[in-house]
Amino acid sequence: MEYLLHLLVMFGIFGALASAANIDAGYGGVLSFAYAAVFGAGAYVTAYLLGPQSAPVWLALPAAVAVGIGANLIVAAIASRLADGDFAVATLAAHGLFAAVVANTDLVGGPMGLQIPQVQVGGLSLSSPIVAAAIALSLLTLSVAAAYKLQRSSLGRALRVVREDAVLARSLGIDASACRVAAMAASGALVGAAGFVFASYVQFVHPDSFTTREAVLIVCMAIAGGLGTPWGAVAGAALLVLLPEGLRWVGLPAASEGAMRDILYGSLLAAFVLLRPAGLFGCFVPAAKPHDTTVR
Amino acid sequence: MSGRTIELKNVAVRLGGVDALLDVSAAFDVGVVAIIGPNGSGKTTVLNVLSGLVRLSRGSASILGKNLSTIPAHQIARMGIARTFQTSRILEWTDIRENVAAALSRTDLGGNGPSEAYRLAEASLTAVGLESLAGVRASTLSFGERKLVELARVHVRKPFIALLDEPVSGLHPSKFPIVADVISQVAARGGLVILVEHDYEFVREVAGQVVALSAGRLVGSGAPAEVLNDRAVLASFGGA
Repeated sequence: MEYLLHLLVMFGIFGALASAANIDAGYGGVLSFAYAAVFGAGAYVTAYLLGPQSAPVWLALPAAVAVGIGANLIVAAIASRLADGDFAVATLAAHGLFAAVVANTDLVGGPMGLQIPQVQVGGLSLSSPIVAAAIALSLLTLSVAAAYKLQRSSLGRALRVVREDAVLARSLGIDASACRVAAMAASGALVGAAGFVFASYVQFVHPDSFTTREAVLIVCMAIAGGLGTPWGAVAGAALLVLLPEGLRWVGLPAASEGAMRDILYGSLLAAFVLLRPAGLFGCFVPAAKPHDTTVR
Repeated sequence: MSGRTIELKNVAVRLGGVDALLDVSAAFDVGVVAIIGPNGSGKTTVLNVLSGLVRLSRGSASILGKNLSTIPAHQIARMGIARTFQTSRILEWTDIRENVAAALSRTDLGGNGPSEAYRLAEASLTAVGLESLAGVRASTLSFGERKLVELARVHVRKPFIALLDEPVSGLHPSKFPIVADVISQVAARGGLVILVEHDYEFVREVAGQVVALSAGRLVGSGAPAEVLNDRAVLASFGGA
């Protein structure tokens, strides 16, 4: 039972992360590989405040959300200056920078990570699997609702124009930068909150929890589920959180399980890109084009 | 109103090492102005300058007295300027109704929701004869239909200034009156239409003023009959 609840927690957290990636990439056309870093920043801030600083939860959660927003807006700033391919590489570099900083900063435990005492809210422990599952699924519900709301809003419509044709957007009076900033602030808030849920659940943050594997996994979930639709992230997270668990029943040696997961993720992503580029529920395939095109 | 509607003073634009415009000065108030000239003469560049999509190398361009060099493109569009493109810019992943509704901002809608945007979009699609295709995915459209969708986008915004890049190019002549009608609606509201066009018959029909460009330079300006019959102007086009 505890194992199933743990899977639900991970499904909720990664579903919210994939939903944030969908808001940025599916609506805003910004395909970032820095979500694990933004997620990690939210988790580390939570751990630092709840651990060494003994700060209350009501301070740690907004702080994680604020850091998520700030970190994702740095990504937005990078996006405004670079075309798609360069941008993706730059976000991977930003992720590498985050990993190097947290692994070498004593303040947050360096390579040893940071332990958090058990956090109680209203007599409920945030590290209890059932409480954490409820919180993670609530966050996932919130992220899907946010994506729905965005899709139907004038901001969502403007973002779709920006995503498909930045020059057209400008000629229609759409401020592409302001739209992207608004969307990426919202998605950054979700990612930061996911960091809080993760840190308070596992009571431990470590550089190994936020590697490029997680960075790629979040993007894979968004793409496999389908960009540009609120349910895509849910489907992608369900597929990529639950499916690898099936490997446990295959009876592989523990040492090769991680490698097999990587192979599975890579194969699934390649299969979706080749066979179903719009993903399971998607309505949009990101085009390989620069954000802005010089007009003559 | 401060100054002329549009004023270009000694405008020069250099794109990718090529002089697209050289020392062009012109001023327009209201009505319909056609820019003619051979391919590569700088016609589209003028529209791009006026919509803020390219920056000047020298000179100045202003709309209603406001210097465009200090205004981002999206804010220029919000000044009541709508445009079409030589190669239509269509949102391929959505339907035609959404393509037109996308041109309407929250301000345009006066606080009304998406249903009002779709109602206005459908009215504009009717104005360009595409009402039966409102729900059709844009990626399936023909070249000419794409041109008309862009025209509907201009129509729905009720702009003060409309910049139309080859609006009848690729259209069946039976559709020309639709384009002429949208143009005359903007002019009738006291607005200004600047169209780039190769079809001189259409230019004669709709324009009150013609500006001729050749190799990035202004080589003629005046009434259509005057410029289109000017041998020196036509000779500068290289036999066009």
